[in-house]
Amino acid sequence: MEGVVVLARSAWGILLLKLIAILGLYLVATLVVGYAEHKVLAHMQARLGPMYAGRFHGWAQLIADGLKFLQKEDVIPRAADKWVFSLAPVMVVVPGIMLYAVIPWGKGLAGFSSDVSLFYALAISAISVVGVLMAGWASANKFSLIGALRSAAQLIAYELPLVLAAAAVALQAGSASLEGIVEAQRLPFILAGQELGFFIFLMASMAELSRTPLDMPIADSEIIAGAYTEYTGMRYVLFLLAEYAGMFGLAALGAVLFLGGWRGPGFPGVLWTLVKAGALTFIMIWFRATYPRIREDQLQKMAWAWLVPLSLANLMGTAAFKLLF
Amino acid sequence: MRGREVTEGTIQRLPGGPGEGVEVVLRGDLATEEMVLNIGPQHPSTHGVLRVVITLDGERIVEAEPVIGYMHRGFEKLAEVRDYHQIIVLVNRHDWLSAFCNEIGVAMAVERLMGLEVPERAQWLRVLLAEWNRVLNHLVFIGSFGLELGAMTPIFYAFREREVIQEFFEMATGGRLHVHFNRVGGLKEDLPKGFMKKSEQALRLVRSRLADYEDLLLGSEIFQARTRGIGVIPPELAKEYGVTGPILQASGVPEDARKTSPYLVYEKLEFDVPVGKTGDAWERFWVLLERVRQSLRIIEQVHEGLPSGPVRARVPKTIKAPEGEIYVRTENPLGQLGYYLVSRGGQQPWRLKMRTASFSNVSILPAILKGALIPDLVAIMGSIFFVVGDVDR
Amino acid sequence: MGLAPDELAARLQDRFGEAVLGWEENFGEAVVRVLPGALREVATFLKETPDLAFDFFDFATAVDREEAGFELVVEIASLSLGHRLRLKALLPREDPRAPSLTPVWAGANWHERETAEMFGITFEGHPNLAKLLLPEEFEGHPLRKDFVLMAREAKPWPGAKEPGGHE
Repeated sequence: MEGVVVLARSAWGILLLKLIAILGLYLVATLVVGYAEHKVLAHMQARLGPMYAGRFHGWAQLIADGLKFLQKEDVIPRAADKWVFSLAPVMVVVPGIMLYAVIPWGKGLAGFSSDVSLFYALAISAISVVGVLMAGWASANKFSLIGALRSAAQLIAYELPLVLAAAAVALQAGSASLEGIVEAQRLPFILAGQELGFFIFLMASMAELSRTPLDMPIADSEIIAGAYTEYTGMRYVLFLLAEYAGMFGLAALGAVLFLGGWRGPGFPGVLWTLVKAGALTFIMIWFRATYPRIREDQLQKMAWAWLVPLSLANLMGTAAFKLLF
Repeated sequence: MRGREVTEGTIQRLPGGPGEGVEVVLRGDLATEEMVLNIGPQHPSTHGVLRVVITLDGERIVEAEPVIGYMHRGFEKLAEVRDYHQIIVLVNRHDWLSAFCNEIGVAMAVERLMGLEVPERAQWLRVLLAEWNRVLNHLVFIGSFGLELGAMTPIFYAFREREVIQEFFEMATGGRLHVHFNRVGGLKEDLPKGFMKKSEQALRLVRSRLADYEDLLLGSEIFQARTRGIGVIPPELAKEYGVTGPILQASGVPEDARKTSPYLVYEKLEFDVPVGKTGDAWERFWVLLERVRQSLRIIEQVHEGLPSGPVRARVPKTIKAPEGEIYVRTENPLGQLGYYLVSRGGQQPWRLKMRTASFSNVSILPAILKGALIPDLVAIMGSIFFVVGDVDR
Repeated sequence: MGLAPDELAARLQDRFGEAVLGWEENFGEAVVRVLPGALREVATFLKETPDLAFDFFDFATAVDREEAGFELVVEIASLSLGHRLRLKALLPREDPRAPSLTPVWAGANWHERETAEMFGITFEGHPNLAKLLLPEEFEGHPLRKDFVLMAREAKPWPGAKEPGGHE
């Protein structure tokens, strides 16, 4: 027994505990966000959503779905490139988990802290583009190819506003580390001059996640499921994981950057972070229920002609403000 | 796959690339890679089994050919070996969203050939149920058009309204979709007690909910960006192809069989025909909403003016249409439905041609899809309101 | 309200003389019988003459008249002026041919394709007379009277006889 405690307190033990906690958070977030999406969409659409799995309002629906996917046949199309096909979901999921590692969930409760954790977080989120391209190309399917190309174009276009909006926050906080940014928010930045930045960040996040109204790459009424069409079973689950957990991850990032992270009266910091991230997730789901899809070229126009100039202006405005006051 | 001959250029199959089936047609000096894509017959956004073979240059459509007939059931041949009572059952099923309206045309054709006078009450009730059927039909397309463009919510609201209406349809006719309520000479029987009350409640409900569709779809900037100026159909082209209904009205032609060759009691009722200006997808949707409004207006007038009396004329036990021919046109929700009936005096028709609205509406697709982008393909096809059973019969 | 049926018929008779075989009024609509060979010219005349202005193509089909042949029926209208017309042309049973009206109204395309596959009529000048509703391998012309309805051929029908006499 003592051996376990010594192990737990040692550097290796703490690392192990952190990894388990982050992975656990990632998976639980997926379950909760997935369930929330079912229920929130349902109630907004005058229906009930899952009601049976787990007896009480279908809380176990996602778990049941996961088990279902686990026992599905592993299908790789004959003409597909086996290795690339199998590796693509991994390329999309792993960066998401790595993002969770760096977010300060509470005071001193970041998985890994660093002076440049914001930079790290943004860089990590960009890697998943490669995964989507791999999926589309290796699938040997015209629809997948179209979807992958649309995805690549969209994700690259919206990286810029995302990064610039985050950069403005870093500038205002005077630090590129996520803990430092939370520390600097006596008043949450959304109320302290970063309203525009918040809006841009929200739009860009939804584009990064391919959420409606910016979900052209997986427009299911047009090209079935875009780059993910040929994926079944556990591989498909990995893509779903990436979407739902990614939603929560980017929402948490947004909460840290703009809503004050773990700051808040009364309750423990972790709770505040989760609540704020949850609120942003709810808003993303709400967007999906309400709006039709923007066409790909209109989407590109929105990014390059609107969001990029706006985010540049935001950055310069923040810089000017910092210099003068 | 049905033959599609490439007449110019040489076909090469390039190695590598995603899988088989990428035909590269080299025209002239520039090797332009044109991709031939099949939309359907199973595809989430074609209403049923319609297949469109499109030739793409990048994301632009160079050529589009609809391939139909997947749902051909041989109605016209069947009609030649069925009597008129059975034919009424049959015609419920080609445009299954407007079952009652389909029946009216056939019943009227036989009645006119026989010189039968249909009682007043039957005619008013036919108008009432036909207009509710029109509302039912339009609600489906209001919902599904949004769905195709990515708006997932309006379709649920539309089907919620449909439930309310289908409930009293079931009360009266026993059927929610296929009603089989018309007979030669009038209706099968009178309406049950409580029907008019439900009809009035539904009228208020649907009226109040129309504003939701306007906010969520018509007024939404994203919806407008996706549909304004898309799929413009010039009126001359529409008339040449025999396009009718909301599509023709959106192109600026005020043609409505209820006004231009009135039948039943439409002459006594006040309603407008919505007419668009440009004929783009947005206006087709707008016309749809307006037609629902006008239908509700008609229903209100029927509620007030419904006379009493019998609901069916006296007809012989076996109905035989006398020798002759007739062409009857009615304004179905999707457009003009025509029945060309040739009779040789027997219990069955010698020939029954069903001139369905969707057949002509879909035939215009090749002409307007040329030059469109793939995402616009869905917007355009969604705005050409058709039912595959109507196209194929 | 446009021209009355007798006026429409008179205009056609004036212009085409012998090619117009006769006319009648059917429930308020003009029905004019013409020679098959004259169909294209009649159609062009009807479309392009300003005070006739037949801009709307309603439908085209055929009726099997047994020994007499196939009666081609074309329904057109003028939405701007408000009159309608039904054109009929009798085609011989062996080798029924008629000129295609697709060059005049683009909408005739699909209607003629359907009539061609259902009755075996050849429309000369049609851009692409491939099968429309029937599968490519289908043999025969279903709407001809000598084509038996298949449903009861495959399996004996235990119920009552159909009104058409088929089992």
